[in-house]
Amino acid sequence: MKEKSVTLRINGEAHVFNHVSVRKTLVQLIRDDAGLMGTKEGCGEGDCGTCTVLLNGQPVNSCLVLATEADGKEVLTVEGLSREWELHPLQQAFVEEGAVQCGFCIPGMLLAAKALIDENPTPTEAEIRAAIAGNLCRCTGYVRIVQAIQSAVVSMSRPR
Amino acid sequence: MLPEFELFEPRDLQEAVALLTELGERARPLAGGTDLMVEMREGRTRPEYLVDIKGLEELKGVTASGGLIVIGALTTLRVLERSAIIRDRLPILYDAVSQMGSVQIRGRGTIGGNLCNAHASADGTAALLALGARLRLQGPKGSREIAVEDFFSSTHKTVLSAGEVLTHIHLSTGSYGSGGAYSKYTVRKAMEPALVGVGVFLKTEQAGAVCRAARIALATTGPRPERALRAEETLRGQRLSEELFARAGEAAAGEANVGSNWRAPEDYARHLIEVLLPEVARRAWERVGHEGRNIS
Repeated sequence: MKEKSVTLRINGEAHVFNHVSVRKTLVQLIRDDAGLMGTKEGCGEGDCGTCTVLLNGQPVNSCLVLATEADGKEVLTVEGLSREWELHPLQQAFVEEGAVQCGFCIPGMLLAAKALIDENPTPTEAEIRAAIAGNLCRCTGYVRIVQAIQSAVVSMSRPR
Repeated sequence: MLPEFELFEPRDLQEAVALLTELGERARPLAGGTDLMVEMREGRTRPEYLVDIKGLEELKGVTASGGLIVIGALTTLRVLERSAIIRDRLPILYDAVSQMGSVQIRGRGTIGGNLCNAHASADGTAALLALGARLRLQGPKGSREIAVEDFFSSTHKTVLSAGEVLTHIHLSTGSYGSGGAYSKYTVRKAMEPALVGVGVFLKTEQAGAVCRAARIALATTGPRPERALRAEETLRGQRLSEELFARAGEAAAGEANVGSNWRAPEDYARHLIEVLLPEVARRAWERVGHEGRNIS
């Protein structure tokens, strides 16, 4: 086949895209077809991690996934983290800790961190660093990003 | 957009083998895609057809029965990293896969893809070489089983014939008194292929004091992952000690097929082998007792 119709849920919302070329990557589908520009494409070869989204809950480099593979699956992008105007605890922590400078890596960083906390609600610093090893930041030196994730871990463990 | 190609999504192994046989050289099987899609984007390979085998559930997972562990070729590196069977019974393989790429890459990349791409720097492959893995291949004319060291024909090339698919990896956990470890030297702490990788698997007797047999594998040094046979010979039958490990390191540094390796100049690569091998051998030795307890 050269194209396929793709039915998926993005951030909980059902989408149907007809005639999706098999040459299209998931990040292109998210940006160009779903119009969600939060997900960035950096290196295009799985090194920088800024295109990270969750595919059925697992973090993937969406530049290395065929768009057609997302058929029947659930995608979470950075736009799906906040509710209305309420930031996700990770986003709130990134703001409060000053973890964002240029911001290009942040969508992928947030989703890599979310995948970690979903799986391991009380990660150590080493586990946090291992979880974001595939997300490059050229501004911050990572210290505040790690602190922000640690701070989010604390706020997310409090009963709400 | 990726370059032009046509996609097939076979439902089972039989269909995948039939498609790959029919399409021949113009087709590539697509597993995790962490290498293939990058090569396609960069124009280094231009397959006319991709046969996406990701959906073949029969090629996924880790099972243990008796002393045999079977790993499906499509098992992701992340699944291996998180498998209690691998962590407890084959920690050398855990060492290798947990140091590869990122969580994102490990979640997609498969152990079969690591073998079939035949990169010299493949950590997983080096660990499987030290473990003496056997590979199950399925082709149009039936299946066959070969030793992992017979799988590579030259740089980035395997002995897979037209239509043949790597389906499973068979490993024996060995007897009581064996232990293995893998480590690689990199400049960065993550997301980097090895400048040099070393895997050591030891079988011992007399409560771990004497080496009965050793298998040592080197990654990145030559055109493909290779064994260091003279270093293995240095250890065999000898009382294990720091001095012996140092001698094995020297032997491996001398015999390694280090060529014009772009990742490290030859002298440096040999130095790294000499320094890294004793460290890895010591860790393998420390694990002898621990691993033994988990083996029935």
